[in-house]
Amino acid sequence: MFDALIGGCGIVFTPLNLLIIFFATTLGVIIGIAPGIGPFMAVVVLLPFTFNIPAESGMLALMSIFVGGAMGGGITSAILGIPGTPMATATVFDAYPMSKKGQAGKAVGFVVTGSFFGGVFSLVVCIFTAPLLARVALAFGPPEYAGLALMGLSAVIALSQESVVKGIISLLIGLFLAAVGTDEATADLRFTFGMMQLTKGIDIVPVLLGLFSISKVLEFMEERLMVIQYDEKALIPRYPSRKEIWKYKGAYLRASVIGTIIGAIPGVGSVQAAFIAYAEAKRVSKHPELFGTGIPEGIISCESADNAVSGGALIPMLTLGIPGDAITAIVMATLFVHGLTPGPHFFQTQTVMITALYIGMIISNFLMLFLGMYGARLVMGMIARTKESVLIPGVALISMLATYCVSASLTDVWIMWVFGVVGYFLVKVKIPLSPIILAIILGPLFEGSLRRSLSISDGDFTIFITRPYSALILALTVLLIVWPYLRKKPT
Amino acid sequence: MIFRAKNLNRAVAAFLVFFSLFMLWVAYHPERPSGKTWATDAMVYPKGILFLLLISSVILFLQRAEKGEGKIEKIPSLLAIYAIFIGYSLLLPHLGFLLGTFLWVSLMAWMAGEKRVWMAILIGFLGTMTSYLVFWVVLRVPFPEGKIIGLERFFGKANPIGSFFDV
Repeated sequence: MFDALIGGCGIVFTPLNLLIIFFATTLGVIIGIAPGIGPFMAVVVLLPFTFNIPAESGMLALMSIFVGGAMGGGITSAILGIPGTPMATATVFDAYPMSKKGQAGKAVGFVVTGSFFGGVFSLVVCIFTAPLLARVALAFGPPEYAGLALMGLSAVIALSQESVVKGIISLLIGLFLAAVGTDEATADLRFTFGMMQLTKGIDIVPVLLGLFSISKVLEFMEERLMVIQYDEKALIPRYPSRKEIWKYKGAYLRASVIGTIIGAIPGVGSVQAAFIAYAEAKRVSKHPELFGTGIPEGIISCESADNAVSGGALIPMLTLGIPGDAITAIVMATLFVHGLTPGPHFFQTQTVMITALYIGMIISNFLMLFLGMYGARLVMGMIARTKESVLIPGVALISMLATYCVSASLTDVWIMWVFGVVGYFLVKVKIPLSPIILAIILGPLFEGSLRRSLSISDGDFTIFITRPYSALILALTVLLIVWPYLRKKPT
Repeated sequence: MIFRAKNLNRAVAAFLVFFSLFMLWVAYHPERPSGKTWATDAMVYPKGILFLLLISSVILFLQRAEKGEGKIEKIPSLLAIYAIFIGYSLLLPHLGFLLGTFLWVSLMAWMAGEKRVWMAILIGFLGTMTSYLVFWVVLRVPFPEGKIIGLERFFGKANPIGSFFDV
């Protein structure tokens, strides 16, 4: 262990690798802040560069982008109310209301420290418990995945601030959208109406940007107010005080644990982690009614959880050779190009390289702690100085470009325009938008696992309660749903 | 022209009811016959979702509008901005990315309150050139080339960075 630590430090603390970590983290923060683009695209674009550098440097570059991007998205959520990345969707709930209250700097501080804590926590856990967590994750089959997806979807109860019916409508719209396209099991086309472009389904990026970004442009045309009119003091991002960090230690820790565990389960990513952590934070809170009004616990729970996924996702990749999410799949591709195959053998023989990756990512998290604050200050300053006649076309243009880049197709741009109007009307009647995003992401996992489970059991639903992990997940899901009602005191 | 909250709530609910009914009709008339179990029938799951959406939408329709639910004002300016979005997407394949985006961004800037025409044009120009550099030159995203005015062909040849980013 000690030898691996020394060897890992030897790899990371070279000028080339330190430079790579710095530039990759900076790039991740910038790309995370730009709405819709996200760290995944940056990782894909940079992949060819990693072929010409050592494998460990390539891994460090890609994972540092992930670390920076996961946090950068939260900054846009806090300042503009537009999620920079899908994983920062849940951050909008409390970060944006806090900014509206004139505390944008404070909101950014919680975004940055939440991300930092989640990221470092998951990496430390990764160092000590990776093989154990990997064994648990491997025991997951379709019923457990279905349960986990249901748990994520049940978070909508916590997200529906005023009307559960409206939250459920939003969730069902998202689940329906996720079902559009080619059915994975039978290859039948569903609701494509003969349009070839819809056979691959509806991508998350046009829906996200339509709902959150284009609807805001439409709102502006009505109210002539795009962003909060920040005062000078509100523009200065500030770290939470030690007293505040201590006060919210439970929120930091709980969300980090949730993020790490969810990250370790292949195919379940940051978005689910953020929503589940948010719902759980609300469930255990002494004042759940304040969630959604701009409270630190809400911001911390989302940001710590989504960044903790970065460490958790490494666990199945390194120990079992199964990528935890899309970004670790690309990291695996880098390793393959260098003739390395992640898996049990790799985990036992390449301990120095793996430790170097952990150390590099911890450094990236520390860098993010400063870069995030600096980046936020820069963005907030720019937004405050920018006139709305520049900001409005700017937001629309970035949204259009990010959407077009998904598949270089104008169909996605059309989808974005449609969801711009949908988002505008849904906001008007107070139907929450975030459950749509949650459902689009979880829908395929839920449907696929549900159908596979029922296929295994010949249509017998008891399969979900006869397997221990599945039963445990379902019990937790039921608790998550009924808890708010059990807690309500009779009036 | 103002559309009040109560009407809007009901209008959205009514739209969702019709949407669910239409999609249910589509689900019950698949392109080819499907199997009869969860695993083999592709439409069982969406049908379940749509039935639930139908029930929830009916409940929403019957609910009273809550206090503070918004009203829609300035419908003409909303329609105008939306017409610009639609017009841009329709004209993009004909005008090409560069000219189309320049016109679109300039018009958006003017509609967003920039009354100095030269400034709106400058915003359009800078926005387009920045997008061109970042997305076209650096990220190599293939944007639509204009059928009528193909500025892209000229800029494509005059790519200042060339193949620097091709490893």
